[in-house]
Amino acid sequence: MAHGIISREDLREPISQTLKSLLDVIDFEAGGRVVPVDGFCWRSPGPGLGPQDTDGAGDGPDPCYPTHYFRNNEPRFEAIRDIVSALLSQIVLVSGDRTVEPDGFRLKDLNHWLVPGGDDPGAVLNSISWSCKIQCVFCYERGNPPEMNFPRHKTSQREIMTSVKYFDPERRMRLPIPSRYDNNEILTFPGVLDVIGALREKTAAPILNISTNATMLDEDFVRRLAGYRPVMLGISLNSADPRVRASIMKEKHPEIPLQSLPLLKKYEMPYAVSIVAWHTLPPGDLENTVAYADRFDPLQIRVCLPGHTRRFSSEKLFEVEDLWNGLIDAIASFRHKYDTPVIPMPYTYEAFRQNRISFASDVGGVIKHSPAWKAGIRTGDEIMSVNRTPIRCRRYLRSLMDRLMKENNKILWMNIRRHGKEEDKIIRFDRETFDYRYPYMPETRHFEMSYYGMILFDGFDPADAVKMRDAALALGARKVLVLTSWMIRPYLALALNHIDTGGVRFDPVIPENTYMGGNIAVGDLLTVKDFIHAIREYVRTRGKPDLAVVPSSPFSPWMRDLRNDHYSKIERATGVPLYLIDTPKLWS
Amino acid sequence: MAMDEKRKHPKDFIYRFRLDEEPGRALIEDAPAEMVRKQLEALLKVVVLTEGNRELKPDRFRFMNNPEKIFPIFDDADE
Repeated sequence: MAHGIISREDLREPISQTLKSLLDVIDFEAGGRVVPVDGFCWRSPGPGLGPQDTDGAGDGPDPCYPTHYFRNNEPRFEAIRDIVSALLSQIVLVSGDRTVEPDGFRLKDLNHWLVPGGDDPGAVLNSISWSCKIQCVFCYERGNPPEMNFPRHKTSQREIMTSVKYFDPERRMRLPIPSRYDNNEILTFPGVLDVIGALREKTAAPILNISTNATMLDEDFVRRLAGYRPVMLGISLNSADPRVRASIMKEKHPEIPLQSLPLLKKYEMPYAVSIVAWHTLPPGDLENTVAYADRFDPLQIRVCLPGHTRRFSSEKLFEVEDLWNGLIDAIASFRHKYDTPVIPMPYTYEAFRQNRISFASDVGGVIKHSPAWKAGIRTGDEIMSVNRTPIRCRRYLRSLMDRLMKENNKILWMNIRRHGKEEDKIIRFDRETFDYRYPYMPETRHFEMSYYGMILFDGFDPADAVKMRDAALALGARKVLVLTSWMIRPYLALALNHIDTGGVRFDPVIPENTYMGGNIAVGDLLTVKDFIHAIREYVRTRGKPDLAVVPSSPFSPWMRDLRNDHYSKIERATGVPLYLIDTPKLWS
Repeated sequence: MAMDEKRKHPKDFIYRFRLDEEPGRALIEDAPAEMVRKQLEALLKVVVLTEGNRELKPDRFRFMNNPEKIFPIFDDADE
């Protein structure tokens, strides 16, 4: 502690400037009403601003958000709150000839707060996914740490319509939405079709990936939703057996979701199916569900390999490796019988299980009737070259495909390897004249991971090993700790074996996920604290490294982890210089 | 405004926020200096300072008129 540092008068001008800049973007509120502020005076010595009465926050027309609801998507609201609170510890705001004690603030001009949001109009809808009428036994929300379970904020019709109004598809900008770690139903929101209709008036772009448990999808709803095509749904099917579905999803009428698949096909609505392969599914149920879904031509069937946190269950409900291995083996045994691509998620695990650790760019699946399908490309084909460009890894292939699709490239010469033999394939695709047949629709090309109908996964780029080496050499580091996950570690080792490390020693270490606990195996859910603990343990047992490499995937675009800790805290807490390497999220 | 007009052009939702956070632990006893620290901490959670192209990683500050006294910016005590 230090004191007697600076006089208040020295701070008058900076405080005045700060207040003016704040008043450019916010209005102060007291009791729900705007209070005009035109000056300030010094607060008398005594306690600073204490916690305010927050119940209802006055009589304002719209509900009052806690700023931390936006902490991942728009942390500047929290910064404003902290700056205002710091100011109010020293000053009292003045309005005319009286003092005012604000208990909140409101944004002045929503145009100031538009954030990059991509061109998917569906992203605007996320804020209305606040209710779910069923209770899946595996719902991860029940096992989330308390900081991730925000009280439900019931988005009003006015709020979502304001989000629609400010959504700017051309500039790919939208209003920020509250941070959410839960992902409930969009389609149960009252008036959701009006909202989708309003979005459709703004843009003809596909509304992608509306996840739903399909309890709403009776024929009337599907027919009306089809009126706003292109809309692409993600159906949480989980089981095609009504009794199994009723027991694992606690729903009363499984017949509606099960019948939604033929309806979606009838109304030519493209969709994907997801199955959480929970450990209590009866033997054979997974394949039966895949077989049922395949009859109605989904774009793909995702099989989610499950895990749970320690809060979900204090006892480990299953061994991840045993369960996941069994699921991968089962999928491999039946996948070839069905036209629909069956994709285990996280997809990295399949190669891991099958001991196929390489940078080969294999095709994860092919959407039926797509250009790639017509060209004879099939699941498992390894793409060796495209238009004579050799393919060195999955990420490179995806970026090349992205470019070719943007350039509207109409013909692709592909050299592939199938069962050890190389073959040439030609993909032809003219957007205007292509003979579209369900499920491959014009909008399907926007479907995530799909390129000309080929499902291509991201993966570790061996160039990342070169980046790490160059960063180490630039900093004069000889001993480098690389924090990674057990699914990425073998790829990292493979990449490091193929480069000249320039005398740099890389030590891969897998941090323990102490925040989530349980049997959570995905590195993207690590926290700043987990990284700090791992580095400290390394220092204790193997000495201080010159540099620590940390993946970017556990962090939000504002570089916060799940607990809202900024990644820079790792370096401050450990004293070890940090290099952040850009890594894709495994579930992306 | 006529009722139809109101329906067609409803007023925007007002984004309102509470100032309800418990005040954090004071790291500096001198209140004006602590106020500056809190503002710096808030800003450095959303901006990265750079010098030329180099990212800076400030973790302390001092007042220009008093080079001797250097203060921490972040409360990392929990780590």
